[in-house]
Parts: sequence; C-alpha cells; structure tokens
Amino acid sequence: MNSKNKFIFAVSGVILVFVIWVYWVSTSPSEGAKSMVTFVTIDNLIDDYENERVRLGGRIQDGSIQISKSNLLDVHFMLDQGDESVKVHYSKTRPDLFKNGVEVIVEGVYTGGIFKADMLQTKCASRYEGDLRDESEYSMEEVEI
Amino acid sequence: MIPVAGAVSLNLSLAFAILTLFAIGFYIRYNDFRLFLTGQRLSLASSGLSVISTIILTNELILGNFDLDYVAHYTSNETPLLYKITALWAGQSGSMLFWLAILSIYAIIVVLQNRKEHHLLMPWVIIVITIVQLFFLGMTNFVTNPFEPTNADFIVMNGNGLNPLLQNPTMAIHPPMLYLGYVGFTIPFAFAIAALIKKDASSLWIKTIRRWTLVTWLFLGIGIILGGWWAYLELGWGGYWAWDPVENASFMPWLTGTAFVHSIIIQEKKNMLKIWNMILIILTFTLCIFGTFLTRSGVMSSVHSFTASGLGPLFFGFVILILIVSYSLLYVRRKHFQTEKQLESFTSRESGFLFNNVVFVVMCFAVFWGTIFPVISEAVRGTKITVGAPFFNQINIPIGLILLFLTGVGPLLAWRNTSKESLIKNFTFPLIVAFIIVGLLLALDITGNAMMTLSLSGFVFTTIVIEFWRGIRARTRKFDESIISAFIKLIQKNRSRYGGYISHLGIVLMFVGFSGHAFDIEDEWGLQIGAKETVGNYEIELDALSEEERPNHYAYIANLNIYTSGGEFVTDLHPEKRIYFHRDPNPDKRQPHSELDIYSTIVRDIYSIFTGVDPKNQVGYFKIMINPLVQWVWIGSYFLIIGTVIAMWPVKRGKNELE
Amino acid sequence: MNWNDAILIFIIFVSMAWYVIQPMMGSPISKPSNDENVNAYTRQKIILMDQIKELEMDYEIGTLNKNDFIQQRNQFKRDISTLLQKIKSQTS
Repeated sequence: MNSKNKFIFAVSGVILVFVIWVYWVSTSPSEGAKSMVTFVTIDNLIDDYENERVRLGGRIQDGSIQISKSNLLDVHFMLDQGDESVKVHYSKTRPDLFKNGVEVIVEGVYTGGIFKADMLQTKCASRYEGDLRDESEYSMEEVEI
Repeated sequence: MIPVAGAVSLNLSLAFAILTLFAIGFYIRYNDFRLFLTGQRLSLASSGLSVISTIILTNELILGNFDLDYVAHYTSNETPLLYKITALWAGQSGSMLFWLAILSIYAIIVVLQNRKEHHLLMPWVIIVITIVQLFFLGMTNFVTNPFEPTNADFIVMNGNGLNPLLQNPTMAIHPPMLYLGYVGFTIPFAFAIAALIKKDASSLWIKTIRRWTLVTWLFLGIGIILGGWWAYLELGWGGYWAWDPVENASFMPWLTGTAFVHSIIIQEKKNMLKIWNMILIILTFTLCIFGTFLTRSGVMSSVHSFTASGLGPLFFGFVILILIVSYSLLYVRRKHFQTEKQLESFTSRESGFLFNNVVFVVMCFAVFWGTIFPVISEAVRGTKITVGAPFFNQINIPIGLILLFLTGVGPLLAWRNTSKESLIKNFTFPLIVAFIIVGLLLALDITGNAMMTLSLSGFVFTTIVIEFWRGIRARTRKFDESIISAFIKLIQKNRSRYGGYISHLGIVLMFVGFSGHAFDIEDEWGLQIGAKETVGNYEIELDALSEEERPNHYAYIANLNIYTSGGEFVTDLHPEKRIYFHRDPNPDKRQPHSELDIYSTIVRDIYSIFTGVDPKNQVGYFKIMINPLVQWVWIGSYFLIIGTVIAMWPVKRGKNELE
Repeated sequence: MNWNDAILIFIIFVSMAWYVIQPMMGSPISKPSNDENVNAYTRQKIILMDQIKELEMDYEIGTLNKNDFIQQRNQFKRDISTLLQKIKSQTS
C-alpha cells in the first residue's frame, strides 16, 4: 500500500468509526430516553403516549396557575393547545418568565390524567436575542390621534 | 419625525455596491486601471454609507425616537443609555444592519491596507466582499428594514424596553464579539475565492489572511466564552453551556475555524493541504452565515415560522448558493492546488495536524447533526423531536478527549517522521504523569469521563512544559542566557509557536473545568428564617429576608449563611428576587427576575438562586448548587486569549531585514 | 422630508459621486507593474527568511532531523537568492 492510500484509508477509518458512533448514540435506547424526546400534541398524548416521556408545548391558561400554600415550588396549571388542554404538575424552580398566558414547553410523563413535568421552559428562554415581534404586537403605550 | 437620511444612505449604499461590481467587472474585462481605482472608491463609499446609516439608527435609539418601529420595540424612556445602544443588535432588522456595518468596516480596512498589494487578487476580493454586502443590503433595504415607521395612526409615547435579562454588561459585549467573529471570516473567504479564480497557490496571500483569521477566530472565541459566562451569571440554571441551537451556531464555525488556523500552518511551512484549506475556509464562512441564519430566522422554533418570516428562505438560498459556487470553483481549479509532496508517516507532525483537522471537522458535523435533527425530523416525518444536552455530551465527550490527546501529541512529533527512540524519549514522562493521575483518582474513587479528562489534561500539560523546556535548553545552549531570560526571549522570538502553546495550556485548563461538571450537586427547598438545610458537604441557613424598592424594580434580598458540615462558617450569600415593572397594575406585565449570588473559589463554586418568596409566612425558596472547578474554565479562557494575542502580535522588523 | 435633510443628503451624495468619479477624469493608465513585483518579491523573501528561522528552531529543539534540515535550508537559501536577483533586475 503506498503512503497516499494509507492515509486515505486511515482518514476514512476515522470517519467510519465516527458515523457508527453517531448512529449508535442517536438510536441507543439507554441514554436516548433523556437525550431525544418527541414533541406531541395533547390529542396524541392522551391517546398514544400515556406513561411515555414526551415534550409538550402550549400556553398557560389565564388564571389557571395554582401554587401550593405549603410549598411554593409546587404548582398546578392548565396547558392549552387551541381548544385542547391538559393539567400539568411541576415542582421545581420555575423560570422567571413563568406566568399566565405565556408559551411554555414542558417535559415529563402523562399518568392518570395529570402531566407530571420535571422540565419547564418558557418559550423564549433560549432566544433572548430573537425578534419578539409576533408575541407582543405593540404592547406599548399608545395615544390615538 | 422619521430620519430619512438613514434610509436614504442605505439605498445609496446599495446603489454604490452594485456600481462597484460593474466598475471592477469592467476593469477585469478591459484592464483600464482607472476603473479599478474607481471601483475601490465605490466600495469605500458604499461601505461608508452603510456605516453612516448604522450611526443614524444608533443615534435615533439614543434619542428615543419612537416614530421608528424598531426604536419603539427595543427601547423605552427608562432604558439606560448603554442598553439603548445595545438595542441596535437586540432585534432582527437592527442586527442585520449591524452585521452589514461590521462587514463594511472590515471592507474599508482591507481595501485601504491592500491598495498597493495583491493587485491580481484584490479586484476579486472586492467583488466577493461586495456580493456578501449586497445580500445584507438587500435584506435591510427590502425585507427587514430597521427604518420602518410605527403605525401612523398612533403617537407612541413610550417603547417596550429591553428584556431585563439582556440588561447586563456582559450581554452588551457578547453579541458584538460574536458578530466581529462571524463577519470577519468573510475576508479570508474572499481571498480564498480570489486565489481560486486567479489560480494563485502561492503562500503570499496566506500570510496576509493569517492574522485576519486569528483575530477573527479570537473574536468568535471570546464571544462564545462571554455567552457562557453570561448564562452562568445571569440565567440561573447553574451551567454555562446548554447545547442550545444558538450556542451551537457559534460553536460550529469556531470548530472549523480552529481546524483552519492549524492547517494553514502546514500550508505555510510545507506547502501541503492546500485543497483541504480551501474546503475549510469555505465551510467556516458558510457556517458563519448559517449561524446568523439559525439565530435570526426562527427556524429552530419551528419549520413553519421559518417560511413565515421571509428571512429564512433567503438565507437558506444564500447558504446553498455559496456552497455550490465555491465548491464547484474549487473542483474546477483543483489541479492548480494539488501538491506532489505526500505524507510519509503516521508518527509525523504533518499527520498530527491532519488528524487534528479531521477530528475538528468530525466534531463540527456531530454538533450540526444534533442541531438540525429536529428540523429534519419535523420536515420529513412530521413529528418534532428535541435533542437535548445529554445527546451532545455523550457524542462529543469522546471526540473532545481525542482532541485533547492530539493537542499533547502533535507538538512532540517531528516533521516528516519521528524515530522510535525519540517517540519513547518524548512520551515516557508525560505518560508516567498521566498514569500517576489515574492512580490518584482511582484512589479517590473518581472514574469515568472525569478520570479520563483529568489524566489526559495532566498528559498534555506535561508535554507543554517539555516543549517550553526544550526551547529554553536550546536557547541557553546557544546564547548563554539565564533560564528566565531564555524563557522570555523564547516567547518573544517565536511568538506564533509559543503563543500557540499558551493557548493549548488554556484549553487544558478549560477541560479541567469541564471535568468538574461530573460532580455537580444541587438541591432546592423552602427555608424559614433560621432554618437550615444540607447540600453536599455544606449547610445553608437563611439568616434574614429584607425588602427594598429601587428605581426600576422591587427587590427581596436574602441573607444566606453557608457553613461546612463541620459547622465552620464559610461565607454569606445575598441572592435577590426582583420584580421589574412592579408598579404595573396588571400582574402579568410585572417581570420577576432572580439575581444570583455566587461564592467562587478555584476548587468549587457555591451558586445560590432565590427562586421564590412567601412574604406573609417569611419563607424563602432557594436552589443551591455546588459546582466544582468551574473557575478553571474562565482561567483557561484567559490563557487561550493571551496565547492567541501573543501568537498574532506583529513582529517588528529591523530595516536590514526589509532590504 | 424637510429641507435640511434634503440638502444634507444631496451634499453627501454629490461629494461621494465626485470622489468616486475622480480617477476616471485622468487619462487611461496601465497597471503600475514594476513596483508591485518588487513588493511581492520582497514580501516573499521575508516569508522565506522567517521560514529558515522556524527551521532552525525546529532543528534545535529536535523536531527535525539533520538531513531534512540541511536540505530544506539550502532549498530556501536558493529560493532567496533567485528572488534577490529578480529584485535587482527590476530595480535597476
């Protein structure tokens, strides 16, 4: 084998090992449980995904936030997706943007009519730089002429 | 009143940019040098107008002219001056203009610097830069214009104001640093394309772009680090890196950029890897545009918002266009950039560089895969899947460790081929150090990735020390210097080499910091005044709760006393729970914000978050994290930055050298 | 748009247009080739001299064997003397 082929062979070897590695991590069920999670709609959640770890996005129903008197970390609220809604329970630190009417993403398991979330993100959490225009079309003080 | 001058400058800039293309195009066709001079001046004028337009928008932001939609959205009367200025890059249209302004400043520098140099390449360099400018000019003129007026039926009395999370000095310099990095790669890219067109495989232009590339790469790196630092100090989830798409967007060009920074050394020294370098710089530039696209188009939140914004498809088209045109050009010209020289041995410096490059690119693809997987999955299968941090960690930790290993191995390898004896001589000591560390860690019951990382760090650290020692010994032998003056002279006389090693040292220290992540502990509870809870080896006591009204917010302040489990006082921490806009009658408009307090030492950080307060019962809710070794990430960053600055610092040349 | 703005924009535009068109007013000039070549050669020479230094460094710390060192250094030296001759012929 001449030296050029030797190196092409080695580099392809590295790449092949890498591809197998990515495939294995992408599909392996052990860690995969936490690393890749399916987004579902409330419809699907109740029909097909009971007791399975999923993600759910939606709006916090106005006035539905109930914070437990004995433990401020404990919260129940209704998550709306259009006309559908589901009751969510969460008992960890809430992000600062958590409030009525805000879009959130929750991750957890749906059992016995309640979605028990152990992860909650407000929608813009990762995109502070993003354009907030769609969400707050002129929510500023305006004076009509 | 609408600042017409800003919008008109932007229009004129577009017109001048188009004229630049014509002037330079005619110069290339008819070879009349006057046309080239005019082309240069057109490019300067176009860039100058873009900058003027940006200055006008900044001025309106400072004045608080709410007749402009952009100003009304991102500032308010209460916004402090600094954050009125940073509002320039807070929103979409402003950040596009900001991108354009930085590119224009770079273009002015390049054109002026090279007025008398690279006469064959410069026309094409200007053309490439102008085309990139045209893309952003088109965006800001037609798609997302920052000079758009507010709804004419209203008089806007006060604007929305900037998100309080963004009102932090770190956040004020993080985006500009990232942008300086993203945009800067346009210049080496332009030179590379020009060289491809003119079939110039010499090392002259490589020398010109080497410093550009290093500066740009440094800016990008500082931007990424500042982003992590801000997240750690401000966001309150206790980490500095979340593998968020926006973070990944900046990390990917950094990875390929790092590969490029290394492999141009080989091109300079050995005249090899020329095609590979072309591939890398094209890839890096494309990833910079792609990064801007990921951050700005909203493609990550949903495929559907991608097509709705109008910005997405344009960016996507531009990225594809760059890729197709550049790589076809490279394919057509490949014969002119091939070298006869070949790699001879696996244990050579050259192949060390080659494998470091391959692994960097491989890591970039891993990040890319994880980042776009949700988008592909939604587009192809209709179900949206999220890819979380565990995926990225699992996939990247082994790759990162290989990179760390190569950082140590590369510098000890000899050019062309390393003899067996010198392999044994050079690697025995670092390997012994690595195994001693493994033994110590096993005794402490530390295994897994943390053990691997720390022992490899020891290995690389030793190789760097050996490198310095070999250099010092060479100097003392030759010049009869003391060890200290030899050390200083060594760095002074070989800036790029030893600056590089100092950067490597920074990377090693950062890896030490990363390894601490495996031992993070956290807990959260409600505490009454005087109550204690335990986390790890510490006891947390809530000593007092106080309240204070400040100009733009209302604050609850906790006084936490931290004791060791032995009862020894360590420190007190004062995290705050703030409510911004607390006077707003609508409770949903009020904005809570947790101000953290961190006790930081080189061994561990104690990180406290005031998560909630129940004023009636005097109960505070807290989340406490013990994060070992985090400070080493920041210390490593300083070394990385200092090393890079040393490596790119210009060498003063004596007169006799120039003649 | 008020008059002040209009006048300001007009002035900016006219001065920029004048700045840009100015080179076209002169008579056609060809590329100043001689100077540029000398420049390029000089820079190439500096690169080669830097490379010799690097080579010596590599050799002294032992990452380059003696044969390669001598051979490459001689190659660089030959290249430099060719460049020097080119510079000489251009300037004289």
